[in-house]
Amino acid sequence: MKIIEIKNLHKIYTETAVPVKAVNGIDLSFDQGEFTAIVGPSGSGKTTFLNMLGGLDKPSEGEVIIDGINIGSLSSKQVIDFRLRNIGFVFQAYNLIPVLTAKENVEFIMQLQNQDKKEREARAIEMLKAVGLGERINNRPAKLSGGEQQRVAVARALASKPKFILADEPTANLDSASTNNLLEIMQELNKKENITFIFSTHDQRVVNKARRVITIDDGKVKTDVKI
Amino acid sequence: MEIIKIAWRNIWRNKARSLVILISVSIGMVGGIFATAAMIGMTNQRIDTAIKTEISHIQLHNPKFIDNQEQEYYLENTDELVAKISKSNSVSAVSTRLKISAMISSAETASGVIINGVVPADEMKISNLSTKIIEGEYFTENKTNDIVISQKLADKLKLGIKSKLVLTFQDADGNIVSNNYKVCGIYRTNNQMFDEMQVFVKKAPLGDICGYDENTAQEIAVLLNNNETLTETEDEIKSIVGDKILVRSWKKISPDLGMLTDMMAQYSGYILGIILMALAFGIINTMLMAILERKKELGMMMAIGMNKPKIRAMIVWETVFLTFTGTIVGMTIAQILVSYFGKVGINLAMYAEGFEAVGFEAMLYPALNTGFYIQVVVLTVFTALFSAIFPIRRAIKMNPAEVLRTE
Repeated sequence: MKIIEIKNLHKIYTETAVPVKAVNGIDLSFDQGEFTAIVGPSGSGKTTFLNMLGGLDKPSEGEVIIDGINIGSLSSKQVIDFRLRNIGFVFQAYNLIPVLTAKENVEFIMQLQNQDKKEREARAIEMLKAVGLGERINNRPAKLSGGEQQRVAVARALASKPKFILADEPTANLDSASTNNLLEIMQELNKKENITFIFSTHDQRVVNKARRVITIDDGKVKTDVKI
Repeated sequence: MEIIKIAWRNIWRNKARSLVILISVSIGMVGGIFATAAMIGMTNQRIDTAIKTEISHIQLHNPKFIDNQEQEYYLENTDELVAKISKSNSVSAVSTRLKISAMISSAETASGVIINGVVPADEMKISNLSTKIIEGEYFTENKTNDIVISQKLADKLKLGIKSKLVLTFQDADGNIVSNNYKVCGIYRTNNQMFDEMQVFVKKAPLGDICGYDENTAQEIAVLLNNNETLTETEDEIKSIVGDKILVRSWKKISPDLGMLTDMMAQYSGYILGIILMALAFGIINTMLMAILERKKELGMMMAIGMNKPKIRAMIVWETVFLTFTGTIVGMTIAQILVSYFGKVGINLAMYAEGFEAVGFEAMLYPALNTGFYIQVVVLTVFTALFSAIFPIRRAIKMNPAEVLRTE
């Protein structure tokens, strides 16, 4: 079942002296339960593409249709609410709120969704257990390793029950052990819960685990391989 | 509320920076509040002295007496007037006075004074002058020629207790009369101008010399139970005595004092406003720094779905916490200082001469009412909201996609 459809997507930055075509006509679609890696060299347009997919950036042209809704047609207020209820994010860094514990960080997104306190507490603990951090729920980010912090970010992304999770270079700052651990957890969640993951990455270890690899260069899709 | 929790924890992320701003706010508050308390205390003391020693709350006169201060413009049937005025629930005491301009002479020199012919028993209920006696006593029984003068006048005329002096004045018919008096008491107030001019004798014998009956007086002084009912009681007395008698409250008799109260209220507002404005810029600076430092974190919060009203609320709460924590600490310290010095006073003896020359006491008792603290809290809320404007603008202008782009 298709959950994301991208039609003729363009993004041109006009603030620069010479306009930069960061994304230059991408047509793609993603099915429920995909585990996709988007790869490409630096400056190829991966992050811009992911930002538009997540509603963080507006396309200059084209459409991003998620579950039948063209998110380009939504007001900025509606887009924020749409992101909150439909998209989970895992960033490369600065993922967590430093003054909140792991559990509070996971709960935070559910509080933004106005979920009941008991319900969100229970789900936060459940999600943290799912990423193997059941014992560290009351630790603040500063007391967690980089890999553990990324796992909390995954738990938070999952807690909001999104349609898909966008992860922008989630393993960029992690060592091998943490990367493998994080990938295994995400792979398991993908298989068991049928959660859709879309990564942008430079990391070959992520690419090796992906079941679909899309290569972007010069803002265009060069290859799209399903494994 | 998670937003409030985050805001509270955020202000303690950089403890040193937050403490600097909290201490600045606290010191500013202590300074502002204490300076205001000192000004208000000084004003209150001046007004209190004016009411209890010099003027009373309300005075009644013949309207022409105010223009010319001539003794021929007197009030008649004062017994009836006093009885009617005394019925008011707001009135504590009433006293009648003869007020006559005179020349006081000793063996050494002479000076112009105002004779206050008073009924000592009534006057003691209305004025605390009897408590200001530093030598001798406030009139003796059965003696008709007792006079109470100030220390300043005594020094000027080189008089002491039991010294004889002569008062020369006009009687009711305009004839010049002189009478001998013997000093029975010497008083001292904190108002040198008052001390230099006012002498006190018994009303009945003075009335006999001048040719006034006992129900004649140039002035009726009224003391109220409290100052709160001043305007209503003034109106009530006006309706009792009619429009042929001039009824004035202390604010009208001594407009400078009324103005002093208003001025002090305004000054305290200005002082506090300036302090808070200065603090606001410190808070704005601190908050802007905090926002810039947390740019990526805010970008992440926006990206995952935290909307602008919630971002705004978080920054407002942070600003409010930062401002209020300092304000509460400052207000508490200020309250302790005001309470302590309100009891023991601040001795400004080295400036006593200057203060007393204009009617102020050299012992200063700072004072503040609850209303002022409420005013401080309200102003602090405005300061916090004002200080939050710029950091909020900076934060909500951020584009999460841009700020999250790693360096």
